Amino acid sequence: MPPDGEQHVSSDDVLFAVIYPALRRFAAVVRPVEIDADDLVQEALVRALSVHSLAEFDDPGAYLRTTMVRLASNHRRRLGRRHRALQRAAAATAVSVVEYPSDLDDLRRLSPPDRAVIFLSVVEGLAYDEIGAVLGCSAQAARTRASRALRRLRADMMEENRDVGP
Amino acid sequence: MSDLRDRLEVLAEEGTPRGATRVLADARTVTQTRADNTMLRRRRPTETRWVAVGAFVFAIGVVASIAIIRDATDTPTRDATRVSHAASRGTALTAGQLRAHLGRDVPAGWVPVDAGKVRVFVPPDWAVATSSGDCLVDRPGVVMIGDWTKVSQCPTIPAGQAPRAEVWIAPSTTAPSGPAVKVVHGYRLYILPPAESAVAGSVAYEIPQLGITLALNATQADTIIATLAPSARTVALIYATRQAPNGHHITTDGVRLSLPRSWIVTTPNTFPCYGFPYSTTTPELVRITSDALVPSCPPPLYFTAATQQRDGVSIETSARVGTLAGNPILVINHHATTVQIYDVGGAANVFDVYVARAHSSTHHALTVGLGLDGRVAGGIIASLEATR
Repeated sequence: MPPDGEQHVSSDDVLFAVIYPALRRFAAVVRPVEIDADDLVQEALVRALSVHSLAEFDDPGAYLRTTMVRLASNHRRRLGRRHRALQRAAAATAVSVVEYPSDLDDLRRLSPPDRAVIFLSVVEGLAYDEIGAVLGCSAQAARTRASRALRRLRADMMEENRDVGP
Repeated sequence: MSDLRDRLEVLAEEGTPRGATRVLADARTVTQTRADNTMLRRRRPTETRWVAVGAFVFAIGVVASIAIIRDATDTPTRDATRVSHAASRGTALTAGQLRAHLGRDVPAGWVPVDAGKVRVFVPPDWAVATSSGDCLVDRPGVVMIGDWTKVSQCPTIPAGQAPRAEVWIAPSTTAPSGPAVKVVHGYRLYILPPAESAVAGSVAYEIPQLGITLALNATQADTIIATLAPSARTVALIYATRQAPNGHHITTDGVRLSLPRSWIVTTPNTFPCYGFPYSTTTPELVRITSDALVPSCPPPLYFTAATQQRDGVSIETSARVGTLAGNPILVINHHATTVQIYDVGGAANVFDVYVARAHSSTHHALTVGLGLDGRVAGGIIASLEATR
């Protein structure tokens, strides 16, 4: 009979292997473009493991998703401050780099919670009360957030189509 | 809605997953390190604890002040215990590494300097030295690539005119020991003891993922380290094996290729001095005829960082016949064409590329400038076809 610690490690390995693919996809959606998706999963995992082993959480997947959304929001704020500071401090000349527009740019402009709510609703088909549980808000707040984000996305996509149209 | 769903799916599948086992193992390492640090703090005797608390509060104040001042010109340091493997995934690039390659977050005006697999950004008036022939007179800084002892032996530097800041990039010679002290864009940096650093007064890092030692003796050292990125060579080799982008298709001298639409095609009678690509303004496809004159040029004093990375392709109008010497770094076969890519010794910013129809001994020789954005050179190579 292995000691308790070893049993936890073993069950955590199995548990995490099961939930990792979905967590990694979620992280790739909510992360700022500068942060690696696996780094975001890892950071959330560190926060979780400093509290309990994964097996002790009621729903470790939901806990890790909530943490990832919050961490992604923090990273986005920090990177935004840094970017603005660099622009202020920079000299007048700029490096000439060819811009490669991407059809994912509209999505990336949304905040991490907005991206999370759209992903969970459109791709994973979760109900708004389940989405609210992930984001730490009510079902009504999740619905409102999704509605606003979709409205903004629609406007951006129409603008984009107008630009490339005849 | 299906369009939105498709885009979300693409976003969700970006990058190459590191794998559950690795992520969990790294998270446990970080958790354990943090727990150990906490235990160490708890073991302090009561009388020293107040001193520690005072010192901690003072340090927080100092760090906050420094952070506010440095926020304008520098980047914040990352958690030293954080572990990342972004660069160790074969040929994959993370979005962060591509952003870093493009210099999205570097101070405006800074320019890239590539050395092997690595790219750093520096001010545009810095010199780049790759051999003892590059004399570094009256430059504010210099990036030295390769063997420092050769580069430093320039005989003509007058006293007081040597560069005030130095960055040295050399092939790695030692295995790292101890934990990584920084992770920048997925690359783990290990500190080298001062005795092993080649530049006096510098801070030196070993970066095994890139196979280099990076030493810095400059006031902007932290800012330069934060620009660490994959070089155009690395990015071009990845994109050379992907689908060719839509561009301006040109067939000339036995080769068909796709160029960005803004490029021009020239056939000069004589070549300007100092290196390829020749144009410093519009990138071009240069047709090199066998009777083009090569002028006699005096040796250059130095090359500046601003002119190191340029786009451009040259093609020899007379096809070479025969066996190629040395080993290519990459061979691509598509349809009836074989493309062989060779490193050019001493220059990090061009590839020699030989294109031939399958089973043919006639090779069309091109030189491809790797430029600011390695995807451009990679896309051109991916589009190459031999037409005869």
